[in-house]
Amino acid sequence: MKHFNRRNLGNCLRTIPLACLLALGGCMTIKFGAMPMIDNIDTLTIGESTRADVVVALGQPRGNGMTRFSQEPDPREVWFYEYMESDGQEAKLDMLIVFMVEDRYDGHLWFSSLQDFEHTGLLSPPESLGYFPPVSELETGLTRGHSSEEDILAMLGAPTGTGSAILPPDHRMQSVMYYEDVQIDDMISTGASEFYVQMQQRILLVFLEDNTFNGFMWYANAGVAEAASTS
Amino acid sequence: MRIHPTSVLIPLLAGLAACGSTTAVSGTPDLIDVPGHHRLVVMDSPNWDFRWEERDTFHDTGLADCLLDALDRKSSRFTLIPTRTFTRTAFPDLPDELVPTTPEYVRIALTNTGVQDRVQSLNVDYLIYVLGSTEMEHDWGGIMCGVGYGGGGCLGVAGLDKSSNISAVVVDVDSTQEMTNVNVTSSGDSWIAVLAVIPVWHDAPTKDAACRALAEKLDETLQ
Repeated sequence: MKHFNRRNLGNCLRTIPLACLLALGGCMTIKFGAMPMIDNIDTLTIGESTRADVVVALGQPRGNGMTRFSQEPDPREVWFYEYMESDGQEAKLDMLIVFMVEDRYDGHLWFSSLQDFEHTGLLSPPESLGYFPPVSELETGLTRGHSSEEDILAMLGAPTGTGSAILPPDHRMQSVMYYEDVQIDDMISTGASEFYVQMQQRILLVFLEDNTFNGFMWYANAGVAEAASTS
Repeated sequence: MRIHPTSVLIPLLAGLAACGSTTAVSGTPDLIDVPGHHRLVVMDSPNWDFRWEERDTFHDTGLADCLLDALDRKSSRFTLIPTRTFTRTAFPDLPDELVPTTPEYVRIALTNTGVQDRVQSLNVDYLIYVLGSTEMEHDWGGIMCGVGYGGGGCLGVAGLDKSSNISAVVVDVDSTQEMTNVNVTSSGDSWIAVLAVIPVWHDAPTKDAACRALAEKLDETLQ
């Protein structure tokens, strides 16, 4: 017995509407998540602001998790906020991660990018957009506390976004260089002009303190975004 | 004797059209024994039970409106406060997309004195968060299609088992505690038939049936 939900139904119907849309040259906008309220971070105080204060200032997170930093005895709860918007030519991303410990605000990390895909044709899955640097060379190519911003640019190229972070345990301000690529794996029609877009995303964050390399984080993820066509 | 396909299909469709929906209420919700008139806010909660292994589940939209309509028909003991009135009053500085929509985060927000004061101005007693999904399984039959020089067409009848499951969490505004959790499931038979190129179908109204069952259960629960 075949078991299916609305996505499977849409999968059966996807080919013709998508082909028509692309043939007509319609462009597509994708919106995912909610714009983080970065400006309200300044209203929060490390070690004092409560979970309720964070919800009132920043709203409900899209997700949560845990992290443990070196030198810290206890793991921290992570609240995750994200907004992504793309019209196929450009992609705007805003991401905010808030750290909580013992029900108190304990720091944050945010970054924002506006990436020009320089993509003039129509999306044809699978297709990759953006640029992801060779992360396997980070450990050997850069030295913490020594490599300069120019060294990073020479090795990784120009970033597509920037941000800032106040990370536990030292809570010192750091700047962030941001790199990203996106692969569109599949598009599923859910109506005449609406789609679900299955995509993979890779993100690299490089941390600098006083314009000197201080660390990095990279990750890859896959998900489904909602898309609507505009003529 | 030649039997025209329509002479078989039309009586079959008439029989299928009589198929109804059945509703089951699972779990035994705790009674909230506070007699009187209650002021309620009903909200869609798109992701309160997000689990990675169920990431492909698409939740139904419009369940709050469906339940509001059913509650309005069911009982006059409730004053139903528009969802937007509540969210704009409680969280005036947050855009709609960032307003708490899950029991977990609204309970956190309700411990903030500013939020408490604003919510008290509406005299809300309970917040009801609803979440649900509808699924279908192929049950019987099939549809065949063919194309030839003279044209093409499809013929056949297929049946689908359809079920809607809706859960509601009731949060007490004063104590910020989750008071009860009600779950209902409604199932029914849908079918689609194709004669030549003309499709005919019957969509079992399982979502509306589940909303009515949920309203009935909430009416019993909120004494």
